[in-house]
Amino acid sequence: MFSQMIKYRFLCQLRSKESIFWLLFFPMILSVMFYAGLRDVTSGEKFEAVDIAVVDDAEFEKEKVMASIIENVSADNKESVGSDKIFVTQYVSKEEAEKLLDDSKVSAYIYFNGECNVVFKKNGTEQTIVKKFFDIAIQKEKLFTEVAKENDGNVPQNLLETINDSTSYIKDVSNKRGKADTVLQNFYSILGMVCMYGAATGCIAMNYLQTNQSALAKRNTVAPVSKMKQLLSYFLVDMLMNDVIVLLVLAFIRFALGIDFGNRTGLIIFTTIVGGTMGLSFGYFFASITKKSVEFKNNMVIGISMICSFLAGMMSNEVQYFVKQHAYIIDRINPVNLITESYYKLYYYTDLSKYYENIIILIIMTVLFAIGTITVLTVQDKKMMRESRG
Amino acid sequence: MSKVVEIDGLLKEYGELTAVNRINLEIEEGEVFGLLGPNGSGKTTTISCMLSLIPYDKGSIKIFGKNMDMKAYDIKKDIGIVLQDVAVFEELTVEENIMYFCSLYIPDKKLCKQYVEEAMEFVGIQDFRKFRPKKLSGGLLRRLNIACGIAHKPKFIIMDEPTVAVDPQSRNNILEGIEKLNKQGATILYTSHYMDEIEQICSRVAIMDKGKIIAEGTKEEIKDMIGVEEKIEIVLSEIPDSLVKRINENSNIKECIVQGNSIKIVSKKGKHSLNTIVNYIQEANVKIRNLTSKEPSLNDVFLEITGKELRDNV
Amino acid sequence: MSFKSFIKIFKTKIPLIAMYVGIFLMISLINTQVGSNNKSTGYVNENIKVAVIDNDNSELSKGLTTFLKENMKAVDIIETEEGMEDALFERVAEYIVIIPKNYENDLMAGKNVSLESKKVPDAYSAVYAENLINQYMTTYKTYYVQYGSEKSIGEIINKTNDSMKSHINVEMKNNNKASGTNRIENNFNFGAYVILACIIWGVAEVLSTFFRKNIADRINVSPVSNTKKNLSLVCYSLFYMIIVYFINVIIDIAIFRGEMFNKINIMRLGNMLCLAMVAAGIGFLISTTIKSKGGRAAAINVVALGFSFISGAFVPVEYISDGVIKVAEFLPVYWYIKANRCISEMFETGIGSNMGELMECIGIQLLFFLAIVSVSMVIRKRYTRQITG
Repeated sequence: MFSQMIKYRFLCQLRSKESIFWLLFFPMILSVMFYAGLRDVTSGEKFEAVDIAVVDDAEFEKEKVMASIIENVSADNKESVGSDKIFVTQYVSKEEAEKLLDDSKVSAYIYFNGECNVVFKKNGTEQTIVKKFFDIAIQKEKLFTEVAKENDGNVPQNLLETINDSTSYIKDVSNKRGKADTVLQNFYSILGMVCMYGAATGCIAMNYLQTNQSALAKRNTVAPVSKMKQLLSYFLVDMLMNDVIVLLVLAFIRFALGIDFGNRTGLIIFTTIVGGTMGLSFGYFFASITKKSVEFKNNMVIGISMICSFLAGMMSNEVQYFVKQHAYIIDRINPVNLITESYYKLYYYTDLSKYYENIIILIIMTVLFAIGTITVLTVQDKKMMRESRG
Repeated sequence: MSKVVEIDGLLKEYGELTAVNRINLEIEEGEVFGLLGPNGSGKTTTISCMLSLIPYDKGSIKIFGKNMDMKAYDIKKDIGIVLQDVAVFEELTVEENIMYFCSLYIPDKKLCKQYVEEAMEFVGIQDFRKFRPKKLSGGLLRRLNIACGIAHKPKFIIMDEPTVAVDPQSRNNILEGIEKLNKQGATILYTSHYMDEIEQICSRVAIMDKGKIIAEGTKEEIKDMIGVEEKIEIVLSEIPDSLVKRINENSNIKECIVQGNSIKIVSKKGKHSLNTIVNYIQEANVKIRNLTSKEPSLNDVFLEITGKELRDNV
Repeated sequence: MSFKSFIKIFKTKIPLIAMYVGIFLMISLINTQVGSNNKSTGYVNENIKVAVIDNDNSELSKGLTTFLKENMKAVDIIETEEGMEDALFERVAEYIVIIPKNYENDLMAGKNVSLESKKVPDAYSAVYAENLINQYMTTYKTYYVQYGSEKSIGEIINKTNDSMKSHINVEMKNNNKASGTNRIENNFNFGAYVILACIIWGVAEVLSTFFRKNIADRINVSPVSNTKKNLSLVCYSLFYMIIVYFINVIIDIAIFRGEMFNKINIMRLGNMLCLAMVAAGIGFLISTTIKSKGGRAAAINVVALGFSFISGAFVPVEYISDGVIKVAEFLPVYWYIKANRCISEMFETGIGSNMGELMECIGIQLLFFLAIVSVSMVIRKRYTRQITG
């Protein structure tokens, strides 16, 4: 009997095209779009030299050191830009520089009047690059001038080398487990979202089990099989299906899109199974406590999934950090966030204690939702029996 | 004969609305018991209470002599239900649907398969076994619904308006099927608001209205109880006064109304006057253009008791 | 198919629609709040969060630590490996400097010794922090080479600090009225997703009732011309769209208050109205072509989320590759975002400057609306022809 229930539930699930599309292909399509949108964010391919103008007048003639510094990092045009050339520089008159800035042909122009000045039209990343560069250039120039003054107008060779030495004093000892990439979280959050979408499956299943929710539920209630047995058979099948679907999406993101998850394969699969089961369990519980139509419940769980995905940083990482700083409790109970973070910690962290913390929270939530579902159904049945005694 | 169903003082209220008002009902083994009444009379609520689908406020319900509740699996295994709404899985084929529901009652897989075959043949959908519900017509869908409810050969079958929105041919098939099931030994509770179905297949009938049972018994008992008479309507070529006088003087006649060329005659309770009237007409040398004789129907019973047509409330 | 029947159907869907619209508006509000907290509206955040772990405790290490604390935002973190990784992951710190033991002595002795860093990957803030530190160390070393024999370390550090105070003078050409423009622009960019999701979903949900087989057949045999039927449906879509649009407008006014009544920002509302119309058209198309509920839901989310993503609603367009931008140009959202950018630039360049480009973007969106509605009508006509023969 139990095996038959499992068999037919399985057939129902396999043949439910809508569920399969919704759970499987929609996240794949979404991740392709994310991939298209985010591919170049960190690959550095998008860096382009900044267009600037320098007012070439009598004051500029006096600024030998600054002129040399600027020339060292300037290319004539974008085609000749190399890794050490950050500007495409035009040397023009003040009026021409004004006009270039007005026409947005340059991001800034620099002029000298005993001091170094930069003129911007607006704020932006390019303007920031210009300001930061010239801050350092001025510091270098001042240093050079001071040292030269101390040495009767000459700068000793060793000092010159020291001033111009571009070797970094810093060694990066960041975690080398993976090429750390903040956009990975966007993809991990898709998986978190797919796990939560399993809640819709749970809602549909409860529609077939909860008395008076549907004609099928009535038929199932009248059958001489305990509700718990039916619930278990449905849950086992739904759990298997949901977990397989999330694993397929994971495989797609990993192998088709080449998104790195690290090499802790066993734990990655385990995380996926826990996440998928959690989402399903939530759906069962949510459906058991609401008396509304299955359509309403479905829409609610999808809406909740969207909020959770948003708060986990799916559209913007800033939101996730904001939640961490200002609403830590939400950070800790948002299932999509817990799943997203778990993948990231597996990928990037050496120490896994925080990962295990997340997994334990997810497991506790799954168990609580499952217990909650059973409790609600049991209470409903007991109430029925008590009231039916007349 | 033992009693299959014993309902005693059943009360179900929804706030201020009394859906079932302290009804008593007994169904004997082997009967086809009809529960007749308009929409909103409490038929479906009574069935839901009987099956422990909803709680009730007062009373007791026994099925097969035992108290019925949600966990009475030993009772449930012998009950089959065919609900008003079609309750099948859209994703499963006809055969798979019946197999699924049968397997909830029959643990033996082989036996289950056999029962499923028999059920499909019984309702006549074996040619559609691989079809999904979406592809079936309304009538076939209803037959599938029935097959799912009876495949496990239950001793007691509840059918709640199983022929709603079904074509006449399928409806006849369903009614014949029910009679066959009854002959095979099943006790059947059949609800409907079509009195002709009830009249065709039911041995005993209860009429419900506004949550109460207003009449119960065999069809004849009910008709006798209320005293509904035979009605005859005749259209003649002419109506001589002497003929009318003769009819009125007959002791079996309660009423005789002449309207143009037609006479409406109502016999007294329990009396049948058709032959006598025809003789009178022949002796009067009048030609009969049209003649209808109507036996009292359950609709008449309902009308008599409640003052309204059964159909008015449909 | 009268307006009355539409209103009746709409009323039955109100709880669902209200819930959905409410969810997306909440998301939009949170996004705006997060954006206002994030001070990097143009210049890289001067308050780069830096943590310094000084294992050397020398004069140099203390000097460097003080300098970093004065020029950036110093934060305290747990100084374990895990604590550092957590701090970076949670953006408590964006840059961590670890000064190794004996650093000052080893550096001055000419040994090959480095400061160690952990950083948030690929963040501009980390790059600038490193540039600052490198410049500081270069300056210090230069002074040390020049004055090391005559001055104390403390004096050399003071000279270094003085030198590092030099900055370029910045002039802004226009009185930058755009304080907060970025915030508003970001809100409206993100709003593309909200508008698409709410309107497409609502329109599809209500109109799909009219397209259910039995009801559609009943409507088709009525003595109303196809054109009139379809136009009615378009009007109903726009009716719903207007409601959601005005809710969005009210919320935007509530958040940004006086700023919204600026002549330039009002244009944003006009731009949003165009996108809202496009969204209504897409909702009409989806309800016409996709019969199943789940399929509709999936399509709506792909359109709303996916299109928004590749058009630059979440990630600035500058960061999206040219190939993808080429594809995005076929999507109405891209032109909405572009129009938003044009409007922002007007704050710097004046109201008339980008008008041509803005009108182009608006016009393209309206063309999208007409095209989508036309396609939907053709599909509806085909369906009617199929069933009537």
